[in-house]
Amino acid sequence: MRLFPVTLALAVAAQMAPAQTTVDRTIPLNADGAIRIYALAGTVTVRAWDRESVTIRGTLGAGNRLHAGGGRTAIKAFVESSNEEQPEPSTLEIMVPARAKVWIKTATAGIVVSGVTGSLDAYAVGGAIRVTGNPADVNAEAIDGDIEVIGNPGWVRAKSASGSVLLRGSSPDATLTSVTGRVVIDGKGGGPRFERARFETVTGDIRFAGGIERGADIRFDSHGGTIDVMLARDASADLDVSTISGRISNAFSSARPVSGRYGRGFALTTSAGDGGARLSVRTFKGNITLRRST
Amino acid sequence: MTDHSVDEAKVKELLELTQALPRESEPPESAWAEIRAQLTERPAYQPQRVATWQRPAFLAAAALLLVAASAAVTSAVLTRDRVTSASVATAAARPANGEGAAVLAALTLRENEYLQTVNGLNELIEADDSGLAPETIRTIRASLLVIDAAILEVRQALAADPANAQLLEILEANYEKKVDLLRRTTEMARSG
Repeated sequence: MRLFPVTLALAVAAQMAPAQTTVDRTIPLNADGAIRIYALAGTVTVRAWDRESVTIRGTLGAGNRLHAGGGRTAIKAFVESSNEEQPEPSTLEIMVPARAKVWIKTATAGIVVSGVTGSLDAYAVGGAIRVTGNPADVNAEAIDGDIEVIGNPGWVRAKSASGSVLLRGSSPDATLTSVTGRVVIDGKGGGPRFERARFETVTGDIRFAGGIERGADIRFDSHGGTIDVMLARDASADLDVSTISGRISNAFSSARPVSGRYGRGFALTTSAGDGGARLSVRTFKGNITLRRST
Repeated sequence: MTDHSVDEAKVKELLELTQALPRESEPPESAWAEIRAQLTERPAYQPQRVATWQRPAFLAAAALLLVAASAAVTSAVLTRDRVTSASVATAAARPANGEGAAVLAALTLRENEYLQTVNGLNELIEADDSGLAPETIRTIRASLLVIDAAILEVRQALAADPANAQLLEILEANYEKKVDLLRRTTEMARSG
């Protein structure tokens, strides 16, 4: 019986709480125009289409307001929360011209982007970022959210502090870093080969599988995480591998690790094919494994 | 220059002087004759009673304690992201040779630059108007602690092996990661 007053109070509070509101707005934007989107909590989903306009649809959390406007070359859309300390989540689905330059920033809101072929900047402090497609360039940053890029961007920078960073695809120019999260590159599906790449963690593991261009410069660096590098069977590369207190396992060539240059740890210098691409793999105490794809 | 910083000019001067020193120098010819004369005058060596505190085992234990204490100081220093003479002294305490001393002097300069950058960025993040949520700051601090622990590990290895250029590269890479994280965080806090 004691539950009754509580239930009643909740019901009354629900009636009194400001209701969610729906939005549906369309604004003209050139095919290569720019759009900036800012929302704190909830979800921001951006999809590309072949129209010269932007449509914003979704549900705003209680107390939230959408402000959107601009000219044909640039649009700004942001969700204002009445309580910025604890914003109510809003769910936005935004259609943009495929070649648009997209900039998104959220606090805890997750960001999902697909089909954009222009440039993309996505910043989520606590939310996850997921990008699908082949943007010209991707700059994705999170503090503790995961970042996942599925596709072959022309240039990609993806950095998280404690989240994992995944690239399911490849890019000629890639930098993926995390402090404690994993960095995984799964480029077995084809696409452009890696030409210049940096993969770095402090304690997170790094796993790489992909193709490398002749003359490529690829660097793997982790303090305590393990590094697993799997190269294509026909890869031509010169590898410079070293660890201060980890182990090196080499199934890529017949070369064996030797004592480190300064009498500490292990080092391995080996080549495959005609060489040409330069791979540097380094840890302080993480183990390193080199493999060839089957 | 704050009281947390080392005197860069003096360290630079020391570094230049160290590098200008000849690799080796022979004593003058007359010195050998004098040494020989003194040795013949001196009575034969008599083993003397060694005080407890001078015994090798005691000295080794004391050295271990010193290393542990230095590590603790370094840890505290790095956690607070402050440059103190103690953090520099830890790395420079046991230079193995002239090359090691020069390397450590160069390290001190670089480290001082990094720590000044880190301090500045830290202040921006910790400021009340940074706009960052408390849980975000907690996450950043946790990540910074992980990087600090890595920095400390490399510094300890470097203190034992000061001429190891590879360790220096790893240390610098860890500092770069710390600065990058702080810079990204401040940029995220500012942009809107």
